[in-house]
Parts: sequence; structure tokens; C-alpha cells
Amino acid sequence: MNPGKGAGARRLLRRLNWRGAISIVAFILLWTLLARLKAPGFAEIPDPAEVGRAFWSKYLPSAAYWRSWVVSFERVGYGFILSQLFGIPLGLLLGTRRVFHEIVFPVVELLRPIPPLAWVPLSILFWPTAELSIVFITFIGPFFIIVINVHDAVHGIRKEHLWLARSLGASPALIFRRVILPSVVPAIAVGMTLGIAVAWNVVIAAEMIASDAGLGRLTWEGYVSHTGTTVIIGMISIGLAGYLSTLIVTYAEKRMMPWQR
Amino acid sequence: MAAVTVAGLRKRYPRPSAPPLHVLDGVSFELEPGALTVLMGPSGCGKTTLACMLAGYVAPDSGTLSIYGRPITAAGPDRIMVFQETALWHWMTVLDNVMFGPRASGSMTQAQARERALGLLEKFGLLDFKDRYPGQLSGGMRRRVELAQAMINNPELMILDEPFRGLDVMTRGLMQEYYLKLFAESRMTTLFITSELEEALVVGERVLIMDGTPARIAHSVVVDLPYPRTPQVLASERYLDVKRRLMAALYLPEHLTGEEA
Repeated sequence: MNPGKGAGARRLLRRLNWRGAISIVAFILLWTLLARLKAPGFAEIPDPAEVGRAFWSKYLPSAAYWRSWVVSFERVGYGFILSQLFGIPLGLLLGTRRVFHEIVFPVVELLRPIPPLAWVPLSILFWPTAELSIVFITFIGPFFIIVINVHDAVHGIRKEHLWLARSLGASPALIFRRVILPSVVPAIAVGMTLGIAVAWNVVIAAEMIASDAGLGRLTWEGYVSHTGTTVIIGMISIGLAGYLSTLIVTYAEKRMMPWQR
Repeated sequence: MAAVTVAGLRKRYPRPSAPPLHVLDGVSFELEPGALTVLMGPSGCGKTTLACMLAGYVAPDSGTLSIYGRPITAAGPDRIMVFQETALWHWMTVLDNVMFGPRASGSMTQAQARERALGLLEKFGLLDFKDRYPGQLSGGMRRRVELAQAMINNPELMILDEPFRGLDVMTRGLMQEYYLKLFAESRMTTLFITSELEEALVVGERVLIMDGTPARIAHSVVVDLPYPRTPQVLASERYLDVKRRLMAALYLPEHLTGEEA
């Protein structure tokens, strides 16, 4: 036996996280068993093989299915990016400008506890198209998270970091650019991680309520038409889409914080 | 002319639902140009408050501070403070941390600052670590980077607030030795704060002792020991005599034997 090959296989096995793989296989087996036995609550739930067949034959070649992915991703993308573009500067202003904080922060604290989905009716009334109202709701979800994260991070900046910069002769503008901004980057990263998850939660719910396209709509249509395979394919697609978004955000975070590599 | 003159400093900190905390009362002393003066005192007596006032971070309620006759009213590049906990900006590389001062104050071009910083890092034995981040360095190395960062601006006053606290005994001894060599080369007026009696005797030319609540400068003890403070010097009768005088000044007379009191 080639010992090098054995060591390579062991390394591969470790990287594959075989315990995780076993738990996924066990989950699929349990699901199959419960669906085949028509256990209580599973009467209308298709088994994994049935879902796989439906995906292979009906959804994989379907342009409409992939269009749902694109639509949901676009909505999350717009909502998430806009929330960062508006939320980060607002958090910085709230954290660094006392008078601005005194005027604006009470309003933020008033609006922040409203769940994003509670904005749906108002959003539909306010925005001229359903598309804009969904993007707006997807924006609201991560927006307050990033604002509060950045605001708190500014307040948490070590005074020694600011003092040192002043002692070394830095101007207020330089202190903002070289000290305050990098100090809040970890908080922005946390806000992004939480925000992308909230954006997906919100967009799916909003699509179920107010849209005729997207992964949320696909899942909802499966429910309305009593098509269990569609519901499950929709759910798995949403999970995968969320996971892919998290990978992108994690990659961006690593690029933003080279000192943490 | 004294390098630093401190006269009649008073400081109170307001406290919610409690009378103000009276920290300093009538603190006065002078630092001679090129002298290494140690400041000692019980924990919480206001040593760091006094250091922050000298650095220009905290304003006294009354009294005056001046450096070569110029009143100290704000932080400035003529003074630098090395804090108890490292204040290096962890998002900047070692080189960027050291170059920050001359670039921020505009006293050097980018090329000049880089050349000077590289020279200092070489002198401090850190050239190979110039592209590392502070989080990738040991405690002793971080302290050396901070010293390089402080010295690149050629300040008129160096304030070291328990700079070697938290280092292990061996690293601490090496850092003391290292710092004394640097001091001998630069003869930069220094206020070295410590709560360790042995450290005060190893580094200081004079020890100022703060005492009382609110605190004031209660004693000044001259450490008339030659440099370098070799193991022979630190085992000499003269050393023991200075140590006895310092202990007598530090502890209340009732804690001493009849002869010492």
C-alpha cells in the first residue's frame, strides 16, 4: 500500500467533514422513511427521490425557475447594497456628530423595532410598483442593523487610538479616514453578515405576499397548488441562495479586514 | 529652563449620584531637559490622569502645565504618550504605524518617512516584521513598535505610562535594558510611570512619589546610581541605600522600623 496515498485520503476525509456528511445522509434517510411510511404530517410531503426527479426533469431545464433565482438575488442585492450605502454613513454621523445624534437617533430608535414585514402595506401604498416596494422592504431589514452596529462601534472606539493620532499631529479628517473608519470595519462586517440573512428572510416573505416572481413566490405557488415537490425545491433553493450570499459576504469581509487573516 | 513645569494642578471627576471624585490637588513639579524621571504612586492615585494632562488629552480644573514655557492646552506632536495597553492601530502594518506620525504632521515626505521608519525598525530589530500587523507580534515587539512610533517624531517629552506592564519578567528586563540604551542615545526628556519599585530603581534618575487622596507629589528621591545598572550596581550597598530611602518615602512612617522612620 502506498502510505502517501493513504495520508492524502485521510486529509481529504478530514476536509470533507465526514461527520457532517453522515448527518446529511441520515437526515435524507429519515425524511425518506417518514415520507414513505406516510407518518403523521407527512401525508403530502414527497420523499427526496421524488423531489430530485422533479428537479431534474422539470426545474433544472426551466428558464422560469432560474429567472426566480435571478429575481430574488437582484432584490436582495439592491436592498442589501442600498442598506449599506445609506446605513454606514448614517451610523457614522450618529456616532460622531453629537447634535445630529440628538436630533436623529430618537427617530431611529422609534422606527427600528418595527419588523420589516410590518412595512409591507405602507410600502405597497407608497411605492408606485410592487418591485420597488419589495426592494424597499429588503432594504429596511438590514438598514437598521447596520446603522446601530456602526453607531455602537464608533462609540466603542478606544480613546487611546484617537488620542495617539492627535498626538502624532493628525487632522480631524485624517483621524476620520485612518482611525475611525477602519475601527468600525469589524462592526460593518458583523452588520453585513446579519444583514444578508435578514435580507433573505424579508425578501422571501415579501415575495410571497406581494410579488409574481422570485423564489418566495415559487414556494408559495407550490403551496397554493398543493405541489409538495415545488414547495421543497423552493425551500432548498432559498437555503442555497442564502448560503451563496453568505459566502460572498464572508469573502468581502476577509478582503475588508486583511489584518484578521 | 525646565523642560516641563507643572504648577498647582487640581482635577475632580463628576460622578452620578455621588460627590465628585477629587483626584489631584496642588500637584507641582518640574522635569529637567534630558532627564528620565519616574513617577510612582499607589494604584488609582491619578498617575494616568496626570500623564493625560501632560499629553494634552485631559484638561485640569485649575493649575498650569507648560513645555519649554509653552502652555499645554491640547495634544500635540511635541509630546507623545505610550499607553499602558498597546494603542497601535491593528489595521495598519508595523511600517504604516511607525510612518503615521511624520505623514500626519506633514513633517516628512512619504519617501523620507519610509526611510526614517525603516531605519528605526532596523535599530529596533523589527525590520523583518515591517509588513506584519500588530496582532501578529509578541507583547515585547509591540512595545518596541510603539517606541519607534513615538521616537520618529522626535518629541520634546516622552510619557511612558507603565509601558512594560503585563510583560513576563524576562521580557520586561530586556525591554528596560533596551529602553535605557535608547534613552542614553536620545536623552529625550521622559516621564516614566511605574508601580514597580524595582523598575523605578532600574530606569530612573529621580523618582517622584504621588500620595494622598486627592494626590499630590509627596516626595522626590534622587536615584544616584550609575548607568548601566548592571547586576553589580543593583547588588551594591549604594543601591540598597537608595532602595531604603525610596521605600521610606513610599510607605507611611508607621510601616517602617524606628531607625528608618
